Amino acid sequence: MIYITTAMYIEAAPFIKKLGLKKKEGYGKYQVFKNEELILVITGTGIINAAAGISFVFGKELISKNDIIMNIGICGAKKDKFHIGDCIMCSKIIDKCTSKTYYPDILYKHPFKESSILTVYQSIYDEQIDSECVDMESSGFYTAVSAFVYQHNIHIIKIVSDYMNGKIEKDFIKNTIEEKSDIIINWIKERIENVDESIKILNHEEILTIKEISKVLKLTETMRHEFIKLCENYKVRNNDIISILNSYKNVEICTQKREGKRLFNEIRQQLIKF
Amino acid sequence: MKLDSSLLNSDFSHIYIEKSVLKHYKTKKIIKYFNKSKIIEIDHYKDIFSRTNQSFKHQKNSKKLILAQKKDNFVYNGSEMCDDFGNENFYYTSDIMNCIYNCEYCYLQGMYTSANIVVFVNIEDTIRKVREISKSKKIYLCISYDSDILALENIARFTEDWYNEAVNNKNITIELRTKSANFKSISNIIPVDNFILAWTLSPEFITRNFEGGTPSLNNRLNSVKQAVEKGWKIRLCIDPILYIKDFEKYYDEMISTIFNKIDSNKINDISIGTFRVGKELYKNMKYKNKKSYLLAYPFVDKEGYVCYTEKHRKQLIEFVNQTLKKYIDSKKIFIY
Repeated sequence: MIYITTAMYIEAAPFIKKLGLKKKEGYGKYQVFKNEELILVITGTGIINAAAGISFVFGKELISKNDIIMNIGICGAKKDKFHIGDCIMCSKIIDKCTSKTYYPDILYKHPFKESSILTVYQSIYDEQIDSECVDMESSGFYTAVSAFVYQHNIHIIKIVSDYMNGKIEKDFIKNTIEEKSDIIINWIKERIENVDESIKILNHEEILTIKEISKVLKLTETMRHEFIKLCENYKVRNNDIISILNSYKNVEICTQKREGKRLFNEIRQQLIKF
Repeated sequence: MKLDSSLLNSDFSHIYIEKSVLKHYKTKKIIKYFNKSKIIEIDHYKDIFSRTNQSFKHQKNSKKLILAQKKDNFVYNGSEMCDDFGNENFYYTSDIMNCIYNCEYCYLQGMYTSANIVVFVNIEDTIRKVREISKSKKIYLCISYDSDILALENIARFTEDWYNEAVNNKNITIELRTKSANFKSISNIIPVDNFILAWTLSPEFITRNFEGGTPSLNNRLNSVKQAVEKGWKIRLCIDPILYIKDFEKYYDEMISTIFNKIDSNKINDISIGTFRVGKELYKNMKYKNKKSYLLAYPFVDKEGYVCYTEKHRKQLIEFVNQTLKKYIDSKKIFIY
């Protein structure tokens, strides 16, 4: 699954439209839009909102470390470094308040420029900053999502909207993002094609069979864990586990623990054969 | 879905550099070498190397370089799991963390949370510490355990630094262990008696299937041959020997290939040992590489480390030892 967060609706609008996302209810104060492979959430502006919004959605979804998560939005930039409308992949995030720095992995090629970004708690109108770009969400977003997904699946993409020199008109933001949304969407589509492989070894049927056998043999929790590991290793070595499991599927329920242990030991001997 | 490697950045596309070593001469040389890489300044290497939720496996496909300053732990006591070849005062250094290769059985994947490579550029401080320790005693020093220093010689030039120290300090005997075929990077220097070049060799089947990115057996042997001809003290390491189907065939072929190419009289010694790793490291390795065929073996726990069953260990050692004896004096074979 791909998750996208934006601070404002205006930043999300072209993506909702072009990716065919539908609004979903049940997310409290957050506006959430979905299709089969993508969830977009509008978190509100600011560090806390960015962290809280995505954490709230993660709490509702079955998040996996292999999911991809992106923050997309506008940022201010130094005039001598970037042009208005430049798309930027953030490779370093500095939190203005805590001075902590964060570094998402940049494993994938992308068509954007790269830069560090300074996350501030309120709008600034001053170019005298340490970083090349400035926003109000990145550090909060990164801190929250890095607890859930792999570092290389975190992407912060910003579009330069101003040079930190005053208020920006809504229409200007809308047009700037609209204009750059295609290049971002194309990259998202490329990234979707490269969602990481599943690391599951046992399939649903095999897991169910292990559960059934564990129940019949009255295995303790520790023994059940050992059973799963033995099955995983056996399957990696032999590409098959179900034939062994099936031969124990119909054994009678053990009335005595000793009998269960004896049978488990028998299975264990088969599974460690090399 | 499978990862399309053409969508990945190349190795060292980004170099993260601690502010404290930005002006170090090694840093400058490395930046010059990788003149197309993006430079990102950092405060401390651990800010990037020790983050949570890194995927060792994915990072291996697009490794980044981190240049840092070593501040402590310049020299470690030799590990019990490594052969000291009868030497007293066994130490090792770790001026590079991680390796450019991707061997499925490597303990580094269990030791580090990141696959990125850290180069501590201030090698002069490690050398100074070694000089202090060796002032009043002879020491045996392994410099290429937690990395492959020769494979990275074009970047860090640490082999050359250690060589210069060995020339001037006869109280140290250095072992540099490598899988690389990069002898050419040091072919212009004159061998000294207290600097051993040690090549880890594996059957071609293992190299191809389980030692990602490493040179072929033939290419490694070409490097060994050149080093032998130059007069270097050479150690061959058949370690770890792996328990795989038809291992007899593969190891027999390899040993015969080695001695068809290399004169056994010119080899200082050979070290052999089977796969073994600390229990905790194994757990981490397994977690990161659940689908590994080699790590799916039903290992046994022997005094805190994970190894093959005694039956299989004996089978492997006896076979390799007996085969080697056909070509080389048994006194030159060290068994771990």
